[in-house]
Amino acid sequence: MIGVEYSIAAYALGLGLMLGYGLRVWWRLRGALRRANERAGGSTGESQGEADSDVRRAEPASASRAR
Amino acid sequence: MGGTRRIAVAGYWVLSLAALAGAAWLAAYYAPVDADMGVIQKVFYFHLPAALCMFGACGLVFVAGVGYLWQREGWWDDLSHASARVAVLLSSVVLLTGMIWGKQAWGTWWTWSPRLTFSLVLWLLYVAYLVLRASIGSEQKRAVVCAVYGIVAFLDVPLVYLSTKLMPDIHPESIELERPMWVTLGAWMAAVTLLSAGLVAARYRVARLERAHEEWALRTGMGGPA
Repeated sequence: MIGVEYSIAAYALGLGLMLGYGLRVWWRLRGALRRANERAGGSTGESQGEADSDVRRAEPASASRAR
Repeated sequence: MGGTRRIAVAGYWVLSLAALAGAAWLAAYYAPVDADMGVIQKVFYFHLPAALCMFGACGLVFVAGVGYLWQREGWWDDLSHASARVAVLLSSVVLLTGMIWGKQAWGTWWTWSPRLTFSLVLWLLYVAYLVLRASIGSEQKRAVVCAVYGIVAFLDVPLVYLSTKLMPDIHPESIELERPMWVTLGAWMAAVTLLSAGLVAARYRVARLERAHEEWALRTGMGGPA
C-alpha cells in the first residue's frame, strides 16, 4: 500500500523525538534531585523518596532568595 | 515531592503513555484509509496535534515573558525556558512529519509556501531563543532579554496560523474527515497534549532545581554549575 513506509517513518521519527527528549529530561531531573539531596545533607545512598523530601525542604529557601 | 505526589506524577506518565498507545492503535486499525490520499493521510493525526501543542508552548513562552517583566520572579523565566525547549521539540516534529507527508502528497520534501516558510521561521526563532539564553551570563539580563524576545517571537504564531487563509498556499487549509477520523484525531490530540504538558512540567522542575543549585553554589562557593 502506497505511503505505509512514509507514514511509519513519520510516526517513528516524531514519537522518537518526543520520547527521546522525555528520557533526557528524566535523566536531568534525576541528577538535579540527587544534587538537591546532597545539598540538603543527605547521603547519596538513600531512597528517592527521601531525596524528594529533601528537595522539598531545600526549595522554599532558594525560591525566596531568587525573589 | 511526597509519596502522594510521586504516585500522581507516575500515574500521569502512565496515563500519557496509555493514551499514546491507544491513539496509535486507533490510527493504525480504526481510522479508515483516506480514499484520495491513501495511508499517508494518517500522518495528519500526529501532525495537527503537534502543531496545536506547539502553538500552546509558544503561547506559554509569551505569557511567561509578560509575567517575568511584570513580576520579575525567577519562576516565570524557568517556565519560559521549559516552554521554549518543548516548542522547539514540537516544531521539529511538525516540520519533519509535514515534510514526510509532503514527499508523498506533493512529490517534494520542501516547498517555500507561506505556511511552510513561517513554520520554519518559527523553529528558527525558538532555536535562536535557546542560543540567546545560553550566550548571556548575567541571570537577570538573560531573563529580561529572553522575556522580551519570547514576546516578540510569538508574533510568528498568528502568521503560521493565518498564512493558508490569507495567502495562496499549497498546504491544505482544512481536511474533510469522517467520524472515525475525528475520533482518532481527538485521541491523538489528548495524547500529544498530555505528553507535551508533562514535558513542560518536568523540564520546568529541572530548571527550578538547577536554579536552586546554582544559588546554593554561589552562596557557599561549593559545587559546580548544575
